Amino acid sequence: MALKKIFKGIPCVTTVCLLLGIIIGIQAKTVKLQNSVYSINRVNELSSQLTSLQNENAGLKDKLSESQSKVEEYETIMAEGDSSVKTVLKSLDQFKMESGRIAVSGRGITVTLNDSKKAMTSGGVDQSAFLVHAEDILSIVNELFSAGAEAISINGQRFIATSSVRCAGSVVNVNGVKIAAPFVISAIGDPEILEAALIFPGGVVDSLSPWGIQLEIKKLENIDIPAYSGGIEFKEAKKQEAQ
Amino acid sequence: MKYPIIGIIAGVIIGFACPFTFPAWASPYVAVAILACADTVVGGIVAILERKFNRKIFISGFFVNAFLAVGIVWLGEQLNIELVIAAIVVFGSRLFQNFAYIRRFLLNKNEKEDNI
Repeated sequence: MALKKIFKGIPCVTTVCLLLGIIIGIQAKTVKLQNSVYSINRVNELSSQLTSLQNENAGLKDKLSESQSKVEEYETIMAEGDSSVKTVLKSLDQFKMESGRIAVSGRGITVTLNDSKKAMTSGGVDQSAFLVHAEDILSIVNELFSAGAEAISINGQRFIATSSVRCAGSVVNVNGVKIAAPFVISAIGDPEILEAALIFPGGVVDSLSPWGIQLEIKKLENIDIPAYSGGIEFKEAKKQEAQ
Repeated sequence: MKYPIIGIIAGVIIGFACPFTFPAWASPYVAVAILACADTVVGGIVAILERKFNRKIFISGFFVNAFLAVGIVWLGEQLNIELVIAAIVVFGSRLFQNFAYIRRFLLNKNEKEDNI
């Protein structure tokens, strides 16, 4: 009786074992193939590296602003003594102002841009047309500069001579810093002229309104625009020798 | 007792050799199902040794345990908790228990034979 039961069990277990073995084999092969494409560990490793680099970056920025305020402190101390130093520092201030290296404030306008609310509801049309693009920001900045804006920042990023505004996936890159909607463009200049430069018929605002892009212009008596905090490296450009 | 082992080795070789693979989304489910099936198989071997093997219980356990394990993983994904760990711990510890039982059983058997 007992022996019979054993012989009844063995073929059954063997068959199931074969089935299990086949599944294990296929699964092992699947996992092997997956690992060659990407591994979760690698993704985790990279994301932790990114976080640590971001922290490092933030720390270095703090250090930089600390050093800059120290430099300013030394400059004022030097200026107290010497009048020639004073004139040099005055022209330095002028250059800083021209290059966007110094925070400025004055009257002007802010333009707030946000993605269209239509984007969610209307189907069939290219959805990206309802989003704010780098080109929209650039054309507004362009109009503002041509209307005599003296300093412009986009979401707190100072727009200087070498600044770029570039689409980077779902966000926009300004001075290499990612910013996302809503975009606030601040400009210092005559508020009336700046506003008029944007809202004239056929102007930038007109071209954006059909898409339902939310655009709000505010005229303000006092706008603060931060200094450009990054560096400009001159690798190729060299000072021309006087002829 | 050697036939199931031969079966499993042959199965792995066949599985590796055959051309198709599981889709990527299914692989966590299959992994847990394999664990459940392995638990059933080892449990079945124990039952054979104990002389109380029942084919119906064995076959139904093989499939029901597998589906239950997959269901637990699926539920865990819906609830965003790692229920898969529960399945791994339960089936894993049972595997070890059953292996320990088989080992002890075989050792005892040999000792008896030696005594004779």
